[in-house]
Amino acid sequence: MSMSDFTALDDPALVEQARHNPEAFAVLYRRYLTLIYGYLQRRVENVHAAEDLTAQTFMEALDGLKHKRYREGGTFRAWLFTIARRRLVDFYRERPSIELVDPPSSEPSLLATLEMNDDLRRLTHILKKLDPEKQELLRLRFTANLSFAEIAMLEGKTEAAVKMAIYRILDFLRQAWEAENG
Amino acid sequence: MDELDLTLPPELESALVNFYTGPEPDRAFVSRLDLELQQRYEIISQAPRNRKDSFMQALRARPALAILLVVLALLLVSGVAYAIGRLTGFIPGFGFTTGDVYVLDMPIEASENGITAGVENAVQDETKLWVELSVRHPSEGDHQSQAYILLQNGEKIQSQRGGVIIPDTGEQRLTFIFHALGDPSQLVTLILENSDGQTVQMKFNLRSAQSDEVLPILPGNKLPVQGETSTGMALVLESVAMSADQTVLQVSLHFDKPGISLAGPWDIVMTDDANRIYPLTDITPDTLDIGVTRIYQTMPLHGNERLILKLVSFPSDKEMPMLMDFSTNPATLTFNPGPNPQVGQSWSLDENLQTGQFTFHIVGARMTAPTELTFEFEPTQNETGAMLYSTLASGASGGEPAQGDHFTASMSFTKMPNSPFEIQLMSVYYRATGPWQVDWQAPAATVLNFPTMTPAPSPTPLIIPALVSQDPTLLEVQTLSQKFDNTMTQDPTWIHVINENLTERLQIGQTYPPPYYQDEQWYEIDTEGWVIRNITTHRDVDGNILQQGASVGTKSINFTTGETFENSPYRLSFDLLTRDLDNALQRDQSVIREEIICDDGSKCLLITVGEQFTQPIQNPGAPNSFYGIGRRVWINLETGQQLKFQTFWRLADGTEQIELTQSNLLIQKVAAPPSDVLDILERIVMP
Repeated sequence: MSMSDFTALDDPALVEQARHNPEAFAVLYRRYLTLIYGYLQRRVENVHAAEDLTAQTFMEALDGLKHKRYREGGTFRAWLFTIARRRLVDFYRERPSIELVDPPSSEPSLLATLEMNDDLRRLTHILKKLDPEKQELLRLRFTANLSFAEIAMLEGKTEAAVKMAIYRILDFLRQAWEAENG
Repeated sequence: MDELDLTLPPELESALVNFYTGPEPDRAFVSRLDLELQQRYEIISQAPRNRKDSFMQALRARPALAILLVVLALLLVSGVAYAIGRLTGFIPGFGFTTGDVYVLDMPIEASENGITAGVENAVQDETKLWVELSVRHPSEGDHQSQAYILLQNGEKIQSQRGGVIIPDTGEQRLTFIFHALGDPSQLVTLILENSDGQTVQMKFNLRSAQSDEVLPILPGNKLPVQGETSTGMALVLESVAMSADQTVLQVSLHFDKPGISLAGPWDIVMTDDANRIYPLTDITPDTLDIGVTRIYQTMPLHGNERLILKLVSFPSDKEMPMLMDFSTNPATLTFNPGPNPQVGQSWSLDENLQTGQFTFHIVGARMTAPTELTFEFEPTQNETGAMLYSTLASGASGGEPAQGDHFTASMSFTKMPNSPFEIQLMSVYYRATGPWQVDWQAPAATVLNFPTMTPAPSPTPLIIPALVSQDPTLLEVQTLSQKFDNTMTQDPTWIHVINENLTERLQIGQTYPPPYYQDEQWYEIDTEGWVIRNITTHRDVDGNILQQGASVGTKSINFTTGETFENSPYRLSFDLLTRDLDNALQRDQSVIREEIICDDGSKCLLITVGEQFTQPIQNPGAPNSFYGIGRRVWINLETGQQLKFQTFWRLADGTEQIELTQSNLLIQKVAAPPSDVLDILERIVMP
């Protein structure tokens, strides 16, 4: 089976293939690299740390698949994020050297900044009012593109509880957004 | 409850998507990781070839830096199957359950009399029903509430107890415990009544908990046994469950101040008063924070055993790296870089910063780059690092070792300040000294009415696949290795092996393996060469034990870290090369055969296997990129023994960088090992 054949497979079939075929694992890697990296980058706000954590996540996922630590019936994407979040915990706990933020790589034009940031600035202001737990739920929903069921798996809650929690957060955002708009 | 409407104004939705859209990874990183994963995949797939190393996995060989995975993977064969049994009857947080478990089918919310309340969680086992509510009252104040459940037949069940758990902004969290419902699937009404007599009613029902479902934490159902607090930390045995075929323990780390956490890996070793060791298998689910809580499974207890649980870490079990966060109340320092700071400029400082119980002595600062300042600290107690911060800084790092016991902390800036500015001490890294342990006696009545677990399947013996290639060099190597194995493993016996290992260059931050260690192994084998028992010890250059572990049958335990492993039965072989060579030949890698005279004067065969990468690999901190990797094995042509094994990186200019050299110092059959070896093996409690 070639790599192009693998790309057509869904996750469960791909996971099965990936246990004994490196090309299948490569397809899984490419399928989820951007999501995992994006999520980690949002959490650590540092390119090098995000790359390091992303590498650790996929290395551990590969070991887990080969050694059958991934349980059938789960969702692979949620499992990947479980690994990524554990590596994040280790990162914050074990690593004395944490870059707080990256220096800006380039300066966008003033006009572009103004246009781009109008709504974002308002949103950022509102999001600051959310506690870290709620912000994490939004990251999992919007950056990681996880379903309610997958977030529930990660957070150790029921799907319905997660759905309600996110509904409440969005409802809060909506009200705050409308209030700010006058 | 109405269907939840998650529709947002388009501008808000668009802003949310923009805000949370993650950045794309760098293309070079994508390619590099892709390549590393391919190589890692290859290594794991080849792992079973060197089964003599299978137990070695129970010994830690992990350096401090995860980035070394690729390097180490080449040196150490992976492939241990973790025997993590599927556990029933134990719910982290909730504790041990009896009978079937039911959980809330769907959260519900209702508003009446100005009170908004919701059933957020519910768990029922055979004995109790636990319900968690969120409540918002129209006015602030101390709202005492009670709750009862109204069954469909009109019967009322009063709650056994309740209380405010988390006072939140305008919201109360209440938990109530009721007698278990006779029919858990029925629709019931929970009535919440406040001290003013106002009520709110919510209908809910339960459903059977699904396999592996994570359930909410039930407060107050723990039986903690806390060890002595040392340097602000204590080990706590949270709960224990025993059955005829297993014991399950939940342990946690408790800290005496907020903001403290352990800054390194930890584990538990459990022994009894006869110093026998109980193998603990870590079955902590992904959803628990393994930094503070672990769940272990071990042998069934007979009752009344006096047990000691000891916190251990690796490589040092005497000190624990700790982190204390002071970001909410940081100590501050004003630093003046002057109007025109220059790269290389130094400032002598004699500043003391006091935060919590720590006093930091800052002895100097240096401008190490156009936008970076590095501060040097002299430790006054057990500090090992600090993290600084300034509102002007764009980045910060801390904890880098400097000369002596000193360490540094750096800050980077978009633009270097040129006037006095405030620096904050955000967090402190320090060493804590133990010991941390819990002494506990198992109750006399050990076997509870507790569901048995599904036993882990017995590992299947490893089958070594037949060789694919018929290359004459491969067949020669195979014949030689079989000749040597046959001389060593054809009778039931003990075999004593000593190897020395030289690691040529340590990576930055690497704490293990050290540059030199000796690896001593004792194997007991049966008539067909299958390993019955094994004990492995790593010693440093002075003979001190770095780590030690043993295996009995398929059970392996690392005495130093407490880790327990399940390994497949394996035949002892001293062949480090044949499978590698077969694989290399299939992949058209270079194989060089040379006949040479070995250091001991014997005629030897030197086999060098090399692999060229399609793209170079640059390990962080390494001065050069690697273009290939190789290994080299010296074989005694007369005995067939593989005397020496070496791995190396190939650099761009074709030169080699040796990574590891393993040389055999001793290999011999003995009638029996020394009594101390047998004593160690006898100390392991096996099923």
